[in-house]
Amino acid sequence: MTLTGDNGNLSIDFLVGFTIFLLAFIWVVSMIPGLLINLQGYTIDYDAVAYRTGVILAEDPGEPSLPTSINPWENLLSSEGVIRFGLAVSKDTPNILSQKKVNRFFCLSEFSYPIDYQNRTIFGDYLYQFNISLIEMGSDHPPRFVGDIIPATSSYGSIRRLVKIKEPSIAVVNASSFDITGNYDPTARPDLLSGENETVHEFIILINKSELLEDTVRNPIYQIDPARERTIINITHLDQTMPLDRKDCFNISLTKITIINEMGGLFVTPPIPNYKYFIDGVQYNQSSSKPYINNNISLLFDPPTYWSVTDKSYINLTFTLTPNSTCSGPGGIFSGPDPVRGSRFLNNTLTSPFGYNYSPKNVIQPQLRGSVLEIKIGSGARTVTETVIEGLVAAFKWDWNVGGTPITVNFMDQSTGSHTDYYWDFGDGTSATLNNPTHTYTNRGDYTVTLTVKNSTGGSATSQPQIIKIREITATTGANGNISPTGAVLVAYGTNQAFTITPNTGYQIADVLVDGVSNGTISSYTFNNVVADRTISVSFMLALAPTVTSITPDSGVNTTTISITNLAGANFLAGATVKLNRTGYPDIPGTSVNVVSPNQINCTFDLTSKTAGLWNVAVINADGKSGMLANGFTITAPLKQFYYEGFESGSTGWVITAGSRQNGAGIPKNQTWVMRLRNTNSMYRPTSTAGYNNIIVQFAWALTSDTAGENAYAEYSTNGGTSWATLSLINGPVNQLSLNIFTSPILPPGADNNANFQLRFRITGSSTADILYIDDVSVSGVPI
Amino acid sequence: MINTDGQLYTIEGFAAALIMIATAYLVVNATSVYTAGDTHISDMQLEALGSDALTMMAIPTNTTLYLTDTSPLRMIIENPVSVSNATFRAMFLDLTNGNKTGLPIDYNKANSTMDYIQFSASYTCRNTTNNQTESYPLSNSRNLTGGEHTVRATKWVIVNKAASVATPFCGSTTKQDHAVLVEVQLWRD
Amino acid sequence: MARLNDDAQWIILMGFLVSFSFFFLAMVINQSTIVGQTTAESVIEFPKNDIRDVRQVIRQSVNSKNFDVVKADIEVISMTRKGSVVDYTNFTSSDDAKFIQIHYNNGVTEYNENWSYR
Repeated sequence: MTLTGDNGNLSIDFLVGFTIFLLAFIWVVSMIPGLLINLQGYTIDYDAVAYRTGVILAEDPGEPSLPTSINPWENLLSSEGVIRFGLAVSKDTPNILSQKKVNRFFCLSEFSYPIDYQNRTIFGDYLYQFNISLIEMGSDHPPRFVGDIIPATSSYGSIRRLVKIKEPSIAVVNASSFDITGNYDPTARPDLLSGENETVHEFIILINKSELLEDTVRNPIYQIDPARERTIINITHLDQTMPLDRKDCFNISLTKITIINEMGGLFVTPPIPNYKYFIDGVQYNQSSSKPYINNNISLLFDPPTYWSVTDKSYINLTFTLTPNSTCSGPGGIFSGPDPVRGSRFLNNTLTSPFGYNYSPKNVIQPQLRGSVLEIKIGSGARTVTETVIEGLVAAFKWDWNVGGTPITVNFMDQSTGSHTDYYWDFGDGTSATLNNPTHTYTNRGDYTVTLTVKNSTGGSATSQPQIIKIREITATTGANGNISPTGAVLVAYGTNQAFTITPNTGYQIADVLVDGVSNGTISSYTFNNVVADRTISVSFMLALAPTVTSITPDSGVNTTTISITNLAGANFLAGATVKLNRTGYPDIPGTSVNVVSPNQINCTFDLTSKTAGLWNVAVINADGKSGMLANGFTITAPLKQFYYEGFESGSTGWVITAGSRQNGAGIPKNQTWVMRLRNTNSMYRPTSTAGYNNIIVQFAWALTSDTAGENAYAEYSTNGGTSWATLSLINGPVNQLSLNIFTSPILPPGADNNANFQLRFRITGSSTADILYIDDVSVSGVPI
Repeated sequence: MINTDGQLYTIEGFAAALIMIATAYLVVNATSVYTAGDTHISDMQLEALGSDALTMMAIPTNTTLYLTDTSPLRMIIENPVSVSNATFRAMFLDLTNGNKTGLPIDYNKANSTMDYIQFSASYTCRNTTNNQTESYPLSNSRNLTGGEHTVRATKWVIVNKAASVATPFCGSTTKQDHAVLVEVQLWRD
Repeated sequence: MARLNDDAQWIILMGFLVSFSFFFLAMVINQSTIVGQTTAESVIEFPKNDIRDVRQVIRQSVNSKNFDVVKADIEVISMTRKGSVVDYTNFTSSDDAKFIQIHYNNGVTEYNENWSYR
């Protein structure tokens, strides 16, 4: 019999298997849907990205790639060392922004838009359009912003954060609290020896970084961090440190700043980097010449400074009091019963260094300014052009009008779409409503100009801002001269500006400092491509008398005009005149005088028919001072050759002990015949030089000898043969195969106009193998 | 014998199920899923704004010692009620609804697009005698009707208010430091 | 007798298959909008401002003369109004370093900190 039918097992098994599969399938299916969501990625979370960016900017201090203690990101020169921008002062102070970080973040000339901001603030792979802007509440400063202008009609996410910007602290030293009269009494300073004339005063400011940072009872918001914030020291009321009746007796200047660390070691010698100072409100370069301080001086140190890396820093300021000759006080400066001594007048009452600390008496504490930070993140491709609203596009162009101070700029509206109203914001607090205005800028700066146009239906569009940069060249002079243009000269960015320097009569330029670097005594200077504030400062001194050191060429023949290529000397001023003079003779003036530089003059002298001889070279400046080079220039008469013998037809007049003319081949000679002396022979000739001065002898000769001491001599005598002077000699042993020409210098006056003048050649050989050849003997002179 | 051919089906079902589950589990566990959806974004923004406004008000104004800092918020709580109400209201509304960037300066402020954030503020303190918390109203821009969708922002303040038996502060009759929680409900109309 | 005629099972199978495909599609489309947590929700859920605020007020309270009163205030009010447990103690270690130990738990996020000060 059959067992129970198990055919049904097939179906049951199948169904069981299928059920299990189904359950698992349902479960898996319920897990999957979330995976598909990411396909819709980037367009959703504009608000989330804006929120994240807001947190990064408002609450995070930023992150440089090296630890912050070495160099916080706001001090880095490029964006490569920055991992993340963040504007907060520190992690403990969210919503409090650092002024320096804000300035750097919004400065588009430091970081490049948009790549730097995308990679360091916005993050993410998708390139969002973004706009980050910051406005200070209650201030006239226009909002700063970086990024695209996102149209109001496109979809975007935004966030608004309320923040405060922390301004750095300022130390204020009121110099009027310095002891004025107490030490005027000489007996009050017995340590000063009589006659001592101290005019140097030191004032010390102490920055104790650990004391500032480790103050835990203070709210970290108002903490002064000297390593990260700007340090500003104002010393005011310096004009009130001296008694009223002696106020104009001294000029105060700050001559030295040194920074000393707590070990007493000198930390740094000037020039100190990242440091500016302002004297009476005008900024100076630390290496340029500084004027006297009238009232106040401000020192401004930008981080990183020396107290970034050290704990205690003593800033030593050395003030020097220079006596002023126009002192009107009793007894003048140095006379009288109590000579004025500088140190008695600028002496502070502090017994310890001035502390840069939390005492409101010493330091204006950091202030907070309320601000609003808004971030917008939008979609779409980036556009850095004008906004488009209702078909209206705002744009403009501009160009410089004329140079000089003040600077005028022409603006031209180039907006498209019909529009009726204009609103120009020139970036300096002024505005205009014309369509093509001309605006004058009176101060240096970077001005952000925007144009907003409106059409008749009320729509408006704002153009992309354009920055007009105006730089300033400060031209100053000392007394006794001027520079044109002078003062604070405004220069359009990237253009040139020329300056002309004119000393007063009787003065000359002492030195021209361009940006603190000496350029010598130039009379004009052109700043090319001005992109930063520059300075030029000129000092003058009493004009010195010119001096003449040399003249090239230094001689000339009196039949021509000679052109002087280099009359060298010093202190030549424009308008100088040149002349040659000699006692008893009329002056020879120089013509076509060209003062090439204070050290060189070119000119021309007409020497025709002038007396030969030594003349003085004189240079007279326009102010009457003159200098002279005595006997610097020689005028010569043209030479005349009055005797010549080539030995072609004989040797007339020569008295020869032994020797003869030769014409053989292979011997050194000129043309056919040459005179030959051998062994110990000589020959002489009386040749009168009567009627001639400045005698020059010329001949050609060659010697062959084989032993030292066998020489050839050319001599002359001025007394008829009694004594001989050597013109030239050839030392043996030598084997000269061709004639050497010898030209003597001008012979001494004994040879002039002398009837007893004689020439002699001799050879001191030992055999007939020692031979001297002589040819082309000539004597020249200047006819009297 | 039992016909065991069908077991193949069962095994196949098991195998398929296990493969599916294992794969899906591995894949899904590797990602965390956030949905699209703009729900709660305005809440997030409002909460950030309210917190910021309270933070601005709680920043002390002078730089003396930590505990004696006098922030506007603390002065408001320590001072008589009528004055503090108006001060709080003006300050808070100015902070949340006020200046915005992106607008040209000098334009007619009446045309600027103001925000319409409303608020209702109160502060809570602890009664030292019976250890219960008590809430007192501080200020509001308009009364709550109950239909608003609000977000809450809070801020702790340490106050030291003069108190006596006649005028206790939160049950305390002596002048001492108290920690007080300021709560602000914000919503947009 | 002959085997069961199971040719019709194929029809049923196809039917199942089609219906499950519909089911799958419906699930996917339906659940795509619900699954997960929105970004804003996760931002709101994390108590960033609460923790910052509590830390700051605890630090301020260290200098107070009524440290215990302020401590009780913070702990009770946090519990009743914010629904979070805040517990902190002030102690001095063996080498005179002072600490505050802060504990915060709002049910979702827990935060602990040791803050040392002078």
